[in-house]
Amino acid sequence: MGRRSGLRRALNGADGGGDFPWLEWRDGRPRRLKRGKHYTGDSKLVERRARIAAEDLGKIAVTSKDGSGGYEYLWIQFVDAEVEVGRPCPVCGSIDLVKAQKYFLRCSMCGSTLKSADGEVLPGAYALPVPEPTDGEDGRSASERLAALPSGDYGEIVRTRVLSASGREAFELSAAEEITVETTIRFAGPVVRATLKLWIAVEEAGAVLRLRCPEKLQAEGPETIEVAVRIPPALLASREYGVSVGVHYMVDMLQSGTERMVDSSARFRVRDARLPGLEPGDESPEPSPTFTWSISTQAESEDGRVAVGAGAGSAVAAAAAGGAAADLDEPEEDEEDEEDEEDEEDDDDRG
Amino acid sequence: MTSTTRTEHPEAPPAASGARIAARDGAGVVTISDAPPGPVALLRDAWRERALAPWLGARVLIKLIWGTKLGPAWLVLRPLMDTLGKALIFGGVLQVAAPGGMPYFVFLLGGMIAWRLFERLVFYATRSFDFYRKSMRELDIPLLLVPISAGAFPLVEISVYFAVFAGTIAFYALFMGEVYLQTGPKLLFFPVGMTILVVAALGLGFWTSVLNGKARDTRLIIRYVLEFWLYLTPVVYPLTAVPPAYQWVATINPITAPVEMVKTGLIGTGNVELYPVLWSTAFAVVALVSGLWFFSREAVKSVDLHGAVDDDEEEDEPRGA
Repeated sequence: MGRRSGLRRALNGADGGGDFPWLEWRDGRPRRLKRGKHYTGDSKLVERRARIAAEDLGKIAVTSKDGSGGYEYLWIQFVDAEVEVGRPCPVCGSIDLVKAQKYFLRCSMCGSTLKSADGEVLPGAYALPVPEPTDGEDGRSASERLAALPSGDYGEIVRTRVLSASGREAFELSAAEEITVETTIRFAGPVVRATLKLWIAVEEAGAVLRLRCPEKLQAEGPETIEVAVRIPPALLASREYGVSVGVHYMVDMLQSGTERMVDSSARFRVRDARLPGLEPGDESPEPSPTFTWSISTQAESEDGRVAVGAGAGSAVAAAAAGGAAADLDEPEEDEEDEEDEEDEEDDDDRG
Repeated sequence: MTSTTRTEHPEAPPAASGARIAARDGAGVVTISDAPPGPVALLRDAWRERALAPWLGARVLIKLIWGTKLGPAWLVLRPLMDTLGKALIFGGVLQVAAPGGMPYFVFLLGGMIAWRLFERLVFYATRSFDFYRKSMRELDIPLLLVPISAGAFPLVEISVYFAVFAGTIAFYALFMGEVYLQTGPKLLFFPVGMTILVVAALGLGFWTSVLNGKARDTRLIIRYVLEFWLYLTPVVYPLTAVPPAYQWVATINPITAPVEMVKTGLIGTGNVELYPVLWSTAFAVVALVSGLWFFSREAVKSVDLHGAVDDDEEEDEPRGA
């Protein structure tokens, strides 16, 4: 099977496996899926779907494969968050955590189940790093300023638009044209680091395309940042899609308690169109898996006026699919190595 | 760049009431305690996830028989060889007489069903954290389900003992015209005796599963203790065969009464008396309650130590005892 058809299949969610009631799985209970009964495709794909679904629900998917007895089982559990040992609870910011198991913690305040990102959890006291001083105009640190603001007021996604190749906002586009997703973010004050993530999803199959802006965004003061990603033609199949955009930002280098997530969404439909230069019956050309990102910054002056290009200027970054900045579901290569590793691990358990 | 430094904290930090929020406090100390969750919380978690128990049990079952040449045949072979071997030695060579002229093989099976249920439950509970090491690394499984789910293998084994027992009873009924199966009200002793055994085994298993994490010798000691305990219990010999000078051993053995109840309920050869039954029941309840208490205090700490063992030291079942 060619790469293109595999890609299409993944984007359309037609992997031979059914969908799962992800919403119910928010309860945090482990579920056991049997290959052949609950899913038919590659279990890696199910794992990936689970991770995406969990991410959409603000959770973390943990999985365990059980391949003994001639059967293949996949265990999936949605936990509340992943935490570096020694960091506060990412859900509520509590600094009192309780070890639940060797690799899991429970927050003593909000009760969240947290997966250790660093392996084994060792009980003890962990010193938090001292926050770096920031040059706040009113003498307050950035985290103090953020804490004083209601959630969402400091960082805000002003709008998200889907643009056609001609640059106009569109809700229906041709499969043959380049699609641009543009999102405008406004920060009310300095931001040392922000990450923008974008999901394109179909309703019944969850996210089919995950993109992450390759550049970390920064704001030196009140700023409006426009980020656009151009999706190459012939990549998305004919159907309706939803776009979700999230930005994760920090106002100082002390991550704990200063991270906020804001999001925005838009919808569009891709209609089928024969690609130019192709005779009927010809195979569509291989879609170029390259996404082009552009970032432009508009700093606001103290009186609220916008100075275009001031401060940061603009940057253009291109990233290849499968790289750090873009993640297409079901890349067909590089799967075997991972499988081999898992097999070795399974061997450990054979008694 | 930020960095995190870790310092040892000698005591458990304050519990939920003292919870603080880092964002409000600014720089501070994140404390991770291994404070025991308490028996009630453990039971509540296990009950909430009780649907997992059969799947976890199946996992052990498959794991123990997979990878052997004979595979599932071991499930039948081991109980058969165990019973046949003991019948040959004690019934044949040593000429131990079963009460009431009953064939020794039938008498032995009646006792073995009771004893093996107890013994295998204790043994597999002891090894349970080893069985689920990988699962516990990747999933958040309620701790109490671990020793409970490990009981799947003993339950399957006991069903094989039952099948052999049923076949033997049918053989004597059809070909010898002798019915050894108890059918009267004494049959009720059977479920009561089995319940006492399960409760006692689970209670002891909660203790030994944690102790095995602390000291690997536990499983070896348990193996020998159980082997010795078998011969202190009237399983391969009738209680009436114990000399009066040693009757006290049978009396203080808390497993004697439930084994006698099972034998009485199945084949009508046991000797059931009130005080030994009360003593055994009290022992089982104390074992369960204290086991739960100990498990809730120490299990979280114990799971650390289980991971420290090399995987090549995996269970040698089903070749082991």
